[in-house]
Amino acid sequence: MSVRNHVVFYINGQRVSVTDDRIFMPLANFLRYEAERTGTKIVCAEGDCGACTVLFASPEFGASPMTQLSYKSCNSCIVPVYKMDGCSIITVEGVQTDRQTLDPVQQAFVDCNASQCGFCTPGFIMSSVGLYEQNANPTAENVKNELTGNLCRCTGYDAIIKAGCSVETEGRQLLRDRYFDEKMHSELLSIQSQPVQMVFEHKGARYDAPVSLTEAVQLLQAEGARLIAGSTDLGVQINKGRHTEKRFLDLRLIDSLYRCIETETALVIGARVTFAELRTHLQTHFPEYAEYMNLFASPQIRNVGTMVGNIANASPIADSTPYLLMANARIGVIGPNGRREIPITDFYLGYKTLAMAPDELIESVTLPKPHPNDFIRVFKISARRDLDIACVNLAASIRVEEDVIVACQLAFGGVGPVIIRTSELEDTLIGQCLPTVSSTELLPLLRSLITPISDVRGSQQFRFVAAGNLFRKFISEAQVSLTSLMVSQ
Amino acid sequence: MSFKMSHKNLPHDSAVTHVTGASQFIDDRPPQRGELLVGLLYSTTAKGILKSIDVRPALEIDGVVGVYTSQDLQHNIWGPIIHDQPLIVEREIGFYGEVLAVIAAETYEAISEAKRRIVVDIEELTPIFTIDEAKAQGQFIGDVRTIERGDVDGTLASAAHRLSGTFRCNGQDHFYLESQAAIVYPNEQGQLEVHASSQHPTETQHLVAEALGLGFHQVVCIVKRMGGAFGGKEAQAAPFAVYAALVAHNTGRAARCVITKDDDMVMTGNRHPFQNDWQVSFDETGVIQALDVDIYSNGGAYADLSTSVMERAMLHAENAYFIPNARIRGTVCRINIHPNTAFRGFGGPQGIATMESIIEEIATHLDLDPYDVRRSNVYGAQGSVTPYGQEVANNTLPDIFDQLSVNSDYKDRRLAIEAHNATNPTLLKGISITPVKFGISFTSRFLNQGNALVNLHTDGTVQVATGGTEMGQGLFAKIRYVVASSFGIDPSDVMVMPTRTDKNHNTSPTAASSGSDINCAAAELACEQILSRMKNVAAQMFSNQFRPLAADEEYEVLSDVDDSTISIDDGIVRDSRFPDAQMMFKELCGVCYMNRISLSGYGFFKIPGIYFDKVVGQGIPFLYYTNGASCSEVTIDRYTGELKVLRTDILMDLGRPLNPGLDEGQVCGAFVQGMGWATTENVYYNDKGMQVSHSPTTYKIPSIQDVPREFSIQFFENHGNVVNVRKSKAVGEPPLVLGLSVWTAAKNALQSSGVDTSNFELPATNEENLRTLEPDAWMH
Repeated sequence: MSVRNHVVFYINGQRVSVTDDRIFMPLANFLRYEAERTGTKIVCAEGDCGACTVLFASPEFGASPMTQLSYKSCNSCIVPVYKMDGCSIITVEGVQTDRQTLDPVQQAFVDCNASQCGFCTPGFIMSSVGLYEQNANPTAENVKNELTGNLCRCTGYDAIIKAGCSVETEGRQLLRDRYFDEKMHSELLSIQSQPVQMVFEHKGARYDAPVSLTEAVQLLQAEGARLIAGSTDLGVQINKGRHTEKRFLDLRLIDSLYRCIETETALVIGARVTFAELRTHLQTHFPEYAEYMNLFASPQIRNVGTMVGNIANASPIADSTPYLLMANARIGVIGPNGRREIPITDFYLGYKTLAMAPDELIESVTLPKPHPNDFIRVFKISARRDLDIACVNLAASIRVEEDVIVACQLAFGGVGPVIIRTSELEDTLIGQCLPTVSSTELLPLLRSLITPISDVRGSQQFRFVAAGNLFRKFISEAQVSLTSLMVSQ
Repeated sequence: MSFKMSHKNLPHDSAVTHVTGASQFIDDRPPQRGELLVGLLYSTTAKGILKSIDVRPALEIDGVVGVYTSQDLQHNIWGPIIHDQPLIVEREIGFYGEVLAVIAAETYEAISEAKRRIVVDIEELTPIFTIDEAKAQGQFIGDVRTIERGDVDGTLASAAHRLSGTFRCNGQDHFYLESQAAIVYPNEQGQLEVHASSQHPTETQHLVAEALGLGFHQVVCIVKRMGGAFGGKEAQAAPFAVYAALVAHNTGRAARCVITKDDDMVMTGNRHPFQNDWQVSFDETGVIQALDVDIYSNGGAYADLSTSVMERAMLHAENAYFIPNARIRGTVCRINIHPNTAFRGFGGPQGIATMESIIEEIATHLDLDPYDVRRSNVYGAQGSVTPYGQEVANNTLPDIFDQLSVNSDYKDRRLAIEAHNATNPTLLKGISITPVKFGISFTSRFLNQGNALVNLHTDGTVQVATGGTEMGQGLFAKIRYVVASSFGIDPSDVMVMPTRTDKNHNTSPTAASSGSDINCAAAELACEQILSRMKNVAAQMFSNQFRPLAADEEYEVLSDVDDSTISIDDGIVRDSRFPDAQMMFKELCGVCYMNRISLSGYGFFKIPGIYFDKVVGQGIPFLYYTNGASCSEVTIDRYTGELKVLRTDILMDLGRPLNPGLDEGQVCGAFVQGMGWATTENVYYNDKGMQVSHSPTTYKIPSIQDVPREFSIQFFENHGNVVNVRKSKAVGEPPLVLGLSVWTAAKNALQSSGVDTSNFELPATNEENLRTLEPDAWMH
């Protein structure tokens, strides 16, 4: 069986093949220090400022050579070079239409004084160009949403928003047209659609990208390597020196993991489904969750990061997890002994400790659809509303029949070593009459169930108060919602 | 590539290269053959004694070329004002993040390994982490300063209304995107070419030379641009250049010192936190009679610029209000964290925030609209002389107040907000107008000087160099405009060159909002020198009808020539005596050169008529004031403390703006930065004295979503400012103070729920808002 041992990608239409251990470099470092493209900047090296934003695209599984690429933004500082295998990358150097002419997006930034010191500017240009790939006529709201992952310390953003809204699009060629090249597409497509197992070994470093789950499980057992999905968190750990071992098992070539399947009762989300893709599947049956996803990280992270990665990462302040606990999601794992399902409520044993064996991997997560009468809210308290990690969060669901609470699920994050369900509180609520529930009286019970600590995101007292207030806010909104329902009936 | 050369509204000088990624920052410079990387091992102890350091194990690592300690410097103790800080720790450690050793290596991996292998023996001592601890132990930096006028004690004692309290505000990290960086190339004869991301090339040059035992003439510091600075690269950029220079000097190889964002935020200081005790008396209408304020700043471990920052805080403690009896005392506390330093506003915001908080307390006490209290105390409504004895001349403050309150529909919105707060169970609203009166000039008089070198070439194009550095603020575009309009040529014929200490020496930092004032004025003087010679020659040429000169003839600058009839516009030279004749500007340049007439000008400018006696606290420290006001409306979620800014209206008096487009960018950027300080930016240290909010994951500057939903910036028409270059006013720092209107609006919103807000601190984080709303919950 043939095996590949190098990665191939294109930068601004130029073919690049990396055969040595530079495959482990963060893409931003590769661009700056190996490919002489210093327009891409590195500031935080943790995907939180957007200065390193580039666009990437790869043909989808089963696409035809003539299918156009869809360029999306990512933080090149936390994406390793091997992740770009089979991708076309556009950097800020590739945006100008020719040496004499600025792209209209760039021209708008010049005309609106949208750059001052210029260090963040390449990232803003890339995010804005990415926006125009998807939307020829964006509103100020679209611009703000797409640029949430880019920080600027000079301008105060007003000029950037104006620039984003005033791009002269008539006659402007999209990148996917400008960089369309049949030969490039054929090569990228072959990497994706006829995947060949990839094995790279160099001085004790090892990188595997198997093409089937069976191989993945075998490799996991044999090598014990670190599993990679989107690498948005691992990339940070590596950059900050918290993960040094270069032994990775990448799931990117396994076709089945990219699927998101809707059944009658649930959504089954594959391990390689990114947040950006997931959001489109949530809209119909999980509107509250879909809305909440807007507050999750940044467009750059959502285009790369996966929900399963967020689950496996097991952070007590993960954004996506409280909802999953609230909804009684099930984690589908696969290992040497086959498949099994673990209720997510049993999944977190302790701080960053999972109820699965080291030779098992998460294949999917099953998210049950809510009952039509469930009243659902997802709250997040963070220092800054957008692009921030939660201090405390709550996903809550309640259902009443003739005013009596018949179901209630409450999942809190940021109040202990793991995200928790407060079952005792839920049990106390069930059977009570919602309009007369006093959430304030239940605060001592809630307080006894949580064990928050003080840290950079907030003091212990703040977390106690915030958790209680989110609970009070939820009950209050449920009561209001119920009342209005009764009036309208 | 189209440059919209509408002259006055030139785009930023680097606008095109910024958007194409072609602008070169320090770490974008291609590596030289043999270039070394510089790593810094720093202390993870806040206070202690370095008993020994053994670097030998690190020297055995493949790729490590050298490790240097304090022993390797010729001169180690420095400071921009007071010389009290080691560049590399010798014995006493003052803060977490202080440099212990400098590593030169070929790879970053080797640097990391070297940091692990260097053996340090440190005796830990008990650190001081709070202003209260420093006060109790008498740990201060510099002398206690006082500004005093009138009978403060007597007035306070006999007052009908008297309030007192303590105001606390936290620091702010600069969060410039380009972290501290320098590259040094060793040249012949012991010379060093230093490329630094520095607001102060002269100090960088001097410090590098002194530290290595070189003459100033052996070191050139070059600054092309900075990726943001905001004061953080005024004093604290220079040591990083020294570390790179130390390596280059010792190895003979180019050396690159570029630190990570995390290390930068841990190692370098911030805006100073303050804790100010105040007493105020006033009449029943809220007119202030006396103010006694005792200001304490957290200076960090070493003096840095702290005494000067304190001075500006004191000079702004009354903000825009006349106070007949005032005593303002300032003390800098020595605390075991990184030395706090210059940050846009330079103490001004902290002094002003105290005053604005006091105004809110007065209004609450008297149940008045805080706007009315402000309006009745503003300079012009009462007196017009500051506590330090400077007359507030050309005072636009009352008009700004009146105009903004009308433009923002303040009174009606305040009524609507009261109605909202009475009924809405979740969201509290607040609205507030705060002013700024910001003194322009360095308070140290000697810094108010600058020079410019203008070289006019024979093709009619110009290269101009000044001591002013470009950090994004648009200085170069303003210089370009001033030079182009002085000569009457197109701005595209003017190039503003990188700042270099061999072209412009003895320069001041680009700071105190003075960059344009000083450097544009110096450039203008240089242009005038050249122009006066050229016009003199031109007048002679028009008079002799451009006749060719004989071999023994030559034009000279003659004292009896009247050149007042010569004008230059759009690159064409005219003489009003001969309306039908004209010549091209570049032709005149050629004539001057062929006739051996200098086409260079060296302009030297100093701000006239200012002084300040620090000891008695009196003087005329400022050439003029930049004024403005801002009206902000916010909501606060009662459950979560989450704050949103719904609308902000700014009215700014910039005289006749030099470049309205760039100036609007300065106002907007400064406001949002000030808003960040006042809301989400929470500098947080752990119990080791380490700043753990050291990256954007944990330190939250405003994002694009945090800009006020409705945002209006307008300029106040003021043609009466005749004291500054082209009748303009400095813009860099003053609008930052307007971010305070968000904080006072938050205080206003919280007050509406009936809680006591007298201890409300800055920033108004979710936690601070909730703590103010539910103080009992914090008592558990």
